[in-house]
Amino acid sequence: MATMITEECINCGACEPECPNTAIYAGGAQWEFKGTMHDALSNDFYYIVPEKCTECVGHFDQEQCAAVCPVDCCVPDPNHVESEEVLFQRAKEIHPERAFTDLAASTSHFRK
Amino acid sequence: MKVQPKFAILSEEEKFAKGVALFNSRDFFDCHDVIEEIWLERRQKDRTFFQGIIHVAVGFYHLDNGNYKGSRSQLSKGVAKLQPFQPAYYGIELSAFLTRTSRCLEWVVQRELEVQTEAFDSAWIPTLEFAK
Repeated sequence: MATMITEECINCGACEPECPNTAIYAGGAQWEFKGTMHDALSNDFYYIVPEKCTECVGHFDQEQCAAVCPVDCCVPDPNHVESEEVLFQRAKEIHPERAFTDLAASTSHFRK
Repeated sequence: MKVQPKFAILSEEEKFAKGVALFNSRDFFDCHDVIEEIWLERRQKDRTFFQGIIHVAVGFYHLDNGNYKGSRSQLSKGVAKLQPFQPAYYGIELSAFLTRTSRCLEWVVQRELEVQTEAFDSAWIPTLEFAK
């Protein structure tokens, strides 16, 4: 599933630069995907775009936003439950320039 | 670009003292900001102590802003993370702090359920006191 930011967010901005997929945006900011701009998903606090979130599969062993969030408000989104395979495929689509190796414990929280 | 530490010139002890002072002056967002730097840098198991203080500070920040759901969740997390460090840790007396925080949490829970009739008294908000 994608990761989501709850209303506990205090807009500290620690998560945004950590995302390997630039899936995190400040409240009120438009988000971009494949050259198209979209309206903000939240006007009040930082948000994660599900279409760009891979739960850090393909990159890290845990969600980087959750790892740096001091208030533990980056949590699994129950409305966007997805398999490791789907998330890895998304990572490849977002980063076509990158040669991904097979998933391992260091690049997928599903394998920890 | 990664968020740059704002208090890098301070030692951990100085950051903590600053965080305590900010909590006690009810500058809860700024308190979270400085304690966060200790939490991010610390790798020992006791980093949950620092995160517990962040949760409580943020719980009161949300309460100040009328975000009762966020306040309830943060105060709950804070109490849970700080309880194992009782009666005192890192020089801070925790038992009375947690008793008072829990009282505030009770009020927030009632308020969220819309059964609260008593007005919140900001004097209930605890301070962080160094153990004698």
